[in-house]
Amino acid sequence: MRKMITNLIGLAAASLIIVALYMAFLYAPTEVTMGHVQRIFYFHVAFAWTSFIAFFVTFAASIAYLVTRKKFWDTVAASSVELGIAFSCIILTTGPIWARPVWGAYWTWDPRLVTTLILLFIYTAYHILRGAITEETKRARYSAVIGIIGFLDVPIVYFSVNWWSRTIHPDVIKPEGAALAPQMLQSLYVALCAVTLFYLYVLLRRIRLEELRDEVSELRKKVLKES
Amino acid sequence: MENSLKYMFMGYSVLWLIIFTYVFFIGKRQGDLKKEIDELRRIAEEK
Repeated sequence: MRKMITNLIGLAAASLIIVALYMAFLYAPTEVTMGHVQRIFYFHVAFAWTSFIAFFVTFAASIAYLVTRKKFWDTVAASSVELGIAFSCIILTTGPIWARPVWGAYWTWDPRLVTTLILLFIYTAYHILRGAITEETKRARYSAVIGIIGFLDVPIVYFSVNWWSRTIHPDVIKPEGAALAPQMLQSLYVALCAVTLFYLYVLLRRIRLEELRDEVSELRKKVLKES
Repeated sequence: MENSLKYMFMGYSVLWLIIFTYVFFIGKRQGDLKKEIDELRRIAEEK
């Protein structure tokens, strides 16, 4: 049943990604000053938002683990972190590629860029820590603490464009409305839905992977005990 | 504009490369673990 639901979500994500690609390349108009490179925007922003969702899931699952001490929450937190890291890598590579023809440089020490890089470092440390601790409960407890503290950087990344006046990173989605053409905004929303569904699909597969690892570990113990 | 097209192509190539590599490795790890489970079950039954 769970496998079927996962596959259905995967199918929906793949279909929506195709629609989002069509909209990003053919439906949305070409931006006047930046040209075609602006089309990176739709997936760049969608992955950025979804990385925030991934880190939020880690944050919430880490709290749930510390409260309940159920292994499931540790599995969810660790799985979501891996996706958050992958998505952060995407935004930190597509962003500079987009910036090169627009800003004239791949990288600037802009507050949004720096805080995003720090976010990637925090969760990479989380991931490394998990690999370094062998004792299961200790690993889960320490990871949960980093998962909660690390999330403090997410609002800093989001509000960095408002808090630091020297930023050159654009902020097109504002509370008073988006500074985008309607077709561009529609394309962005579809990309957001597509990437969120994709996140959900990979998260479910990643959780399953962790469950299989536990099964292997249990079976190994059983075999060793019997021999 | 032509230069802009080159960077757009680069951006999307990197994006899908990361995605496909990640999903591929998850699938591969899952497949390897399933094989290992079958093998361990077989050993456990033999004993």
